[in-house]
Amino acid sequence: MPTFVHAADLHLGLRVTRFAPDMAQKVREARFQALERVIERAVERRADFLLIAGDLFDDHAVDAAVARRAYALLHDARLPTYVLPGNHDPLLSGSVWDRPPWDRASPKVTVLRSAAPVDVADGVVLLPCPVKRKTSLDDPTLWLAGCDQTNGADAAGATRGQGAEGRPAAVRIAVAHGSLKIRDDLPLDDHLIDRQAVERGRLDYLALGHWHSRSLHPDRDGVPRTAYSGVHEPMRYQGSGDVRTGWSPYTVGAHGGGVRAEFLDSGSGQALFVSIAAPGAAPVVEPLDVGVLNWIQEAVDLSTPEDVQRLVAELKARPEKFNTLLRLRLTGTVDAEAMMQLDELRNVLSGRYLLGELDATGLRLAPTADEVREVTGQGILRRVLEELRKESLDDDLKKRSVAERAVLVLYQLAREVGS
Amino acid sequence: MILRGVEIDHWRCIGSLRLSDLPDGVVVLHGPNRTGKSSLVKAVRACLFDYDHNSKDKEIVRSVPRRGGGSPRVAVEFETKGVRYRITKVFSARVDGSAVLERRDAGGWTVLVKDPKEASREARKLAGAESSDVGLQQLLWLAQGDVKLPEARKTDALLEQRLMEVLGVLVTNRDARFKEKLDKNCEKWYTAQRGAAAKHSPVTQLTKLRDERKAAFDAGEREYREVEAVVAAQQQAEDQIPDLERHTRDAEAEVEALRAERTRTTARRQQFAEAERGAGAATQARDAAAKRLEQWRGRRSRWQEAERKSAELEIRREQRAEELSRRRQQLVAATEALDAARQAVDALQDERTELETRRRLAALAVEEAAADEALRKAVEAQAAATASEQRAAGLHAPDEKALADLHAKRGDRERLRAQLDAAALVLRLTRDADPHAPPFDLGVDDDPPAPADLAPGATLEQAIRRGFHLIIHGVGVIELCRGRDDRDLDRVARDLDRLDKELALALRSFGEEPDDPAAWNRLTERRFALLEAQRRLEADRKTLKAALPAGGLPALEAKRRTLGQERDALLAEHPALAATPGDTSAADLAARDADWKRRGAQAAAARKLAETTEAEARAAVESAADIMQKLDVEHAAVRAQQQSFREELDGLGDETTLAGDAVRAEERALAAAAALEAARLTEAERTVEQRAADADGALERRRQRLSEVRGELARLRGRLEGSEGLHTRRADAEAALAEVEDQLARETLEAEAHRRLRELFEQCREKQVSQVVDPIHDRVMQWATRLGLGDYQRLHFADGFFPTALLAATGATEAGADAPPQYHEVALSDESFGTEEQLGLLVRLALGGVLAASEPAVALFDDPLAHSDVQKHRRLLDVLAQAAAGTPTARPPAGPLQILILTCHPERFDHLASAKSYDLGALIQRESAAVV
Repeated sequence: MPTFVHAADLHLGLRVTRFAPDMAQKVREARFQALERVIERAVERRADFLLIAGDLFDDHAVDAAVARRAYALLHDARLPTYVLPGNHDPLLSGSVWDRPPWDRASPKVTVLRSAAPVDVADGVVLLPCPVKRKTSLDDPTLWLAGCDQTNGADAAGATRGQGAEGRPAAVRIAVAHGSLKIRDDLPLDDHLIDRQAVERGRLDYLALGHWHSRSLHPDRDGVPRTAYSGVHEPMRYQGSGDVRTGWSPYTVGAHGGGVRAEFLDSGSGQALFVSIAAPGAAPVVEPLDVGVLNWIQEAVDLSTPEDVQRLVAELKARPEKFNTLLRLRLTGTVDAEAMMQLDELRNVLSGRYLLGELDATGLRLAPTADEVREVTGQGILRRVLEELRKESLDDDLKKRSVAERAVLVLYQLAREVGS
Repeated sequence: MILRGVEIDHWRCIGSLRLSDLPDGVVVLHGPNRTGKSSLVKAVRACLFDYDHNSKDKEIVRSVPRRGGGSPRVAVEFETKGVRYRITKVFSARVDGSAVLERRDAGGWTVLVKDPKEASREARKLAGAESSDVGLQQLLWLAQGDVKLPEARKTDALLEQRLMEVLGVLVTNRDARFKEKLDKNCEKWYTAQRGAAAKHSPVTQLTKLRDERKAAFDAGEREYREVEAVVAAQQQAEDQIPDLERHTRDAEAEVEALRAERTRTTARRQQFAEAERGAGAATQARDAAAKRLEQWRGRRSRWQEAERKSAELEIRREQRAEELSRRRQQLVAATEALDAARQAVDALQDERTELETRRRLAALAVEEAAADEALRKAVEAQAAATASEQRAAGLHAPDEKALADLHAKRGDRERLRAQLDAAALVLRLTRDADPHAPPFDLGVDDDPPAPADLAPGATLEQAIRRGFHLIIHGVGVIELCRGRDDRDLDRVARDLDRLDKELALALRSFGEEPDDPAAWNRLTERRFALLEAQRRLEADRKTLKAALPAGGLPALEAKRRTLGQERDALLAEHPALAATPGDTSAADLAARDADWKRRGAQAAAARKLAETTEAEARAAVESAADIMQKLDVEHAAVRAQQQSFREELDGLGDETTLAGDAVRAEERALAAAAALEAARLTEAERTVEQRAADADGALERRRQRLSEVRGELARLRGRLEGSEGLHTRRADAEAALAEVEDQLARETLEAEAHRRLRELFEQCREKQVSQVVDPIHDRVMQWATRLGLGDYQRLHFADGFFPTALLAATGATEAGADAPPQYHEVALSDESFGTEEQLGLLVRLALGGVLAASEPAVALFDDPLAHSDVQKHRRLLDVLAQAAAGTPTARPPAGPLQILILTCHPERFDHLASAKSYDLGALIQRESAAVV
C-alpha cells in the first residue's frame, strides 16, 4: 500500500517586503523549519516518498543559498522526494532547476521536468504535470487523458484500477499545479485544471498545489481524490483579508485587485499524509501540522486606562509569544492617561513577541476636563489644545493625523515642563 | 488702600515729621534737595511692609541718626475697606523696640495687635503685600529714576495674579516653559531663525536615505522587468523552434528534388547555351561593323566643320587688324593734345606765383607802417606814465584812511574838550579897583598856589576841574574842592591831552603846524591833488598797456624786424619785382587775379577734355588689341582640331570598305538568330537552375534562422541564470524602502506635528495677548495721544502685561485700502529717556487703575517726570488727575488712585488744582546731628 506525504507551496525564499529585513529573514527561516518538520513527519509515518506539488521556491530567481539549502534538506532525507515546478518556479531554461545542484540527476531528489509517467514504487506510477510558465491558458493535466502509465500511448478503453490491454493495474498518482476549475470566475490564465481530471486520467489521487488552504474535492463517486495540501507554513495575519507581507500570487481575481481567497492560508501550516490501499481504492488523507509561526491580527476597543492595563497583562500571559507575529489594532476613545500608557503596550509587543505591530490610528484622544486643566493650565496651551482638537476632526486625513500627533506632543511636553 | 498719615521721629535726616489727614487724589509733597523726601518714602516702606521693629538690616541701621534723640519711630496710618488702621514701629533691637497695630473707631484708636511680629504681619496683610516691591507696589511705588517697566519674566507673581484676575490670563510661566521646550525640540527638524528644514533634520536624512533605497529598488525592478522580458523572449523562442525546424526540413526536401530535375535537363540546356553564344557573337560582330562606319562618317563631318570655322576666323582677323591700326593713330593725336594743355596750365601757375608775391609785398608795406606807428605810440605812452608816476610820488599827502582818522581824532578832541568844558566850574575873580586890595595867590586843581597877577578892576575867569586854593594875604585861604574825586574828568583830560599830542605829531609829519587852522584845509587839498595824480598815472598806465603787446616794447621791435626780413627775402627771390615793382594797388591786383582765374579755368577745362579724349583712345586701342589676341588663339585651336580630325580619318580607312563589312556582318547575325530559336528551352528547363539556387538560399536562411533562435535561446538562458538571487534582492530592496518610508512617515508626522504646534502656539499667543491687553493698550494710547506722542499707532506687548515696543505705521499702502496696516517696531528702550518714562508712567497708571477698581490704591512717585518738557508735563498733570479720579464707567472700570508725588519742583504741579500740597521743608524738623 503506497503512502506518501503531499506538500505544496512551500515558497522557500519568500518575498517579504512589509517587514524590516531581520524580521523578513525570520519569516523565511520559519519556512525552512517547517520543511524540516514535513520531512520529520514523513519519516515518522514511514511514507514511501515526499511529493511537492509546485512552488517549492517563491521564484525561479531565488538565492543560490536558498536553492542549495532546500536541495540538501531533501537530499539528506530518508525518503525520496519528487518536486514539481509550479507557477512561481516554472521550468524555464536558466531557472533554479537549471542551476546547481538542481540541474543534476539524483535518486533522492527528482525534479519532474516532463509530462511523462515515473515509476516511483512497485505498482505506483507518478504522472507529473510540470508548469513551464507563470501563467498559462492550458490545462496542465490535459495529457493525462490519453496516457498509459508505461509509454503514454493511447489507453482508450481502460478504467481506473485496470491496466490497458491487459497489463497489471498500478496506482496512478498525478501531481499538478494550478487552479481547479470549480467555479467560473477564476482567471483563465491561472493553469486551470478540469474538474473531471481525475476521471479523465483514471487517477487514484490528484495531488495539487497552488491554493494556500487545504481542500479536498470528491470525484463523481463522492470519493475525495483531488486535494490541495495548503501551505506548510502560514504567511499572513489571520483575521486580515490580505497577505500583508508583500508576497504576490502573480494572478488576481476575475475582477482584479486584492488577493483571491484561495491564496489566503488558514493560519496553520500543514501537509497531507496519503495512503492508497490498491489501484481504484479510495485514498486516505490525513493532515499533518507542520507550521512554525503564529500570525495573529486582533482589534481591541479601549476606553479607560484600566483597559490598557488589562490588555498589557493579557498579552504578557499569552503562550508562544516568541513564535507569534501579533498585529494589534486599537480603537475607541481614551483619555490622555490611557494614551500615555500605550508606550508600555508597545514595550510588551516589541519586547516579548517575535513581532508586535501596534496600529493606534483608530484610537481617539478625549482628555478629561481635569487633564486639560492639569496639563494645559488656563493660558495659551488651552487655546492650542482646543484648536488641535478641532483639527483632529478634519476631513483631511493628513491634517487630522498631524493634529492628533500634535495633541500627544502637547501633552508630553506640557507634562515635562510641569505646572 | 489709602495713606492717611505718617509720623516719623529720628529717622535718618528727619528729626520729626507729622503728616495727617492725607486726602484722596493727588498729594504733592515738596521740598528742596536733602529735605528728607526719599527718607520719608523709605520710612513708609519700612514701617508698612519691609522690616520688623527689631530688624538689624543695614537699611534700618543706616536709618538711625548717629547722635539722635532716640530710636527711630515711624507710624503709618492707612485706610482699607473704609476702616482706618495705624501701624507704629519703634525700630530697635533693644527693649525699647516695638510694633503696635491700631484701629480707629468712633472713640479713637484701639489697639488691635500688641505683639510686634504679629502686628507687622497683620499690617502687611491689610496692606495687601509682603513687601513694598511686590504686588501693586511693584507697579505703583516708584523710587527716584525708576523709569523702566518691569520685564515680563520679572513681574511679581502676586501682581501678575491680580492682573490675570482682572484682565485675564496672558502667557503663563507654564506656557513660556512649554514654548521653550517646544522650540528646543523643533531644532531637531527646523532651523531656529526661519523655521526652514534643517540640514541635520532626521526628515532630511531619511529623505536622502529613502531616495537612495528607492534608486536601489528601482534598479531591482528594472532588472526584474528585464528578466521577465527574457522569460517572455525565451518562451517565444521556444515556440518558434518547432516551426523553424519543420520549415528547414521542407527546404531540404525541395533542394533535393530540384537537384534531380537539373540533372535530367543538362543536355538540352547545353545545346541552347551553345546557340545562344553563337547568336551573341554574330550580333556583336554586326554591331561593331556598323559602329566603325558610323564613326568614320562622324569624323568626316567634324573635319569639314573645322575647315569652315577656320576660314571664317581668318576673315575676322583681318578686319580687326585694320581697326587696331586706326585706333593707334587716334591715340597718338590725343596724347599730343594732352601735352599741350598741360603746358598751358603750367604757364598759368607761374603767373599765379608772381601775382601772389606782389600781393604779399603790398601787404608787408602796410604792416610795416602799422608797426612803426604802434612803436611810436608805445614809446610816447611809456614816457607819459613815467612822468605821472614821478608827479604822484612828489605829492606828500595823507591817504584817504589816514585823513579820515585825523578828522575822527580831531572830532574826538573837540568832543572831549567840550565835555571837559561843560563839567568844569568857572572861577570868576574880579580884583577890586582899590590898588591896596591885598594880593592873593591862586592854585587851581593840582597846581600849587601862585600869586595871581591881576590888575585892579580886572576879572579872571578860570575853569576849575577839581578845586582851587585862593590865598588872600591878610585875609586867609579860600579852598574849594569837589566832594569826591572826579576820575572821569581826569580820564577825559588825559585822553584830550593824548589826542592833542597825536594830532600835532600827525600834522607835523605832513609839514603843517597843529595850531594853524588852515592846515586842515591844506591837507584836504593835498589829498585831492594826490588823488588826481594817481588817477592820471592809472590812465597813463592803461594807455601804455593797450599800446604794448604781451612781450612789451621788445616784442614790437622784433615784429618790425621780422616784417623787414620777409620783404627782403621776397625781393631776393623775385629780383624782377624789385626792379619793376609795377602797380601793386589792390584794384590792379584784383583785376589781374580775376583775369588769371578766367584763363586758368579755360586751361583746366581744356586739359580735362584732352585727358578724357586720350583715355578713351587708349582704352579703344587696348580693346582692339585684346580682341585681336583672342582671335589669334581661337584660330590656332581650330587649326589644331582640324589637323587632328584629318589624322583620325586617315587611320579609319575608306568609306567603301567599311560599308561592305557592315552588310556581311548583318547577314551572319540573322543566321545565328534563326539557330537560337530552333534550340529554345521550355519554362521549366529554363528556370531549373534558378529555382535550385533559390531553394539552396532558402535552406541556408532557414538553417541560419534556426541557429540564431537556438543561439538566442542559449543567450537568454545564460541571462536567466544570471538572475539568481534577484528575487531576494528585490524583496530586500523593497523591504528596506518600505522600512525607511515608514520611518520617514513617522518622522515627518512628528516634525509636522511639532511645526503645527508651534504655529498654533504663536497664533494663540497673539490672540491671547491681544484680547487681554487691548483695554490697557487703548487707554495708554488715548493718554499718549493726549500727551502728543502721536508718532506711534500701537504698543507691542510680547508675553507680559507690560509693552516692550512701540509700533509706527510704515505708510505702505501697496496692498490696498483693506489690507491690514504695516508697522515697524521700535523698542521702548530705543526711545528717548523722557518718552520712555512718560509711557511707563501711563502704563502703570492704566494697570493700577484697573487693579484699583474694587479698592483704591496708593501710587507713590518719588521725583517723577524729571525728564519731561514743560508742555508734556502740563498734559501729564491732566492724566494724573484723571487716573486719580478713576473711570468707573470704563471697561474694565478704573478705580481711584491716591497719587503721592514727592518733588523738589512744586511749581511744576501748580496747575494740578485738585492736588493738595505739603511743604516738607516746613514740616520736617531736621536732626541736629549729621546722619550716617
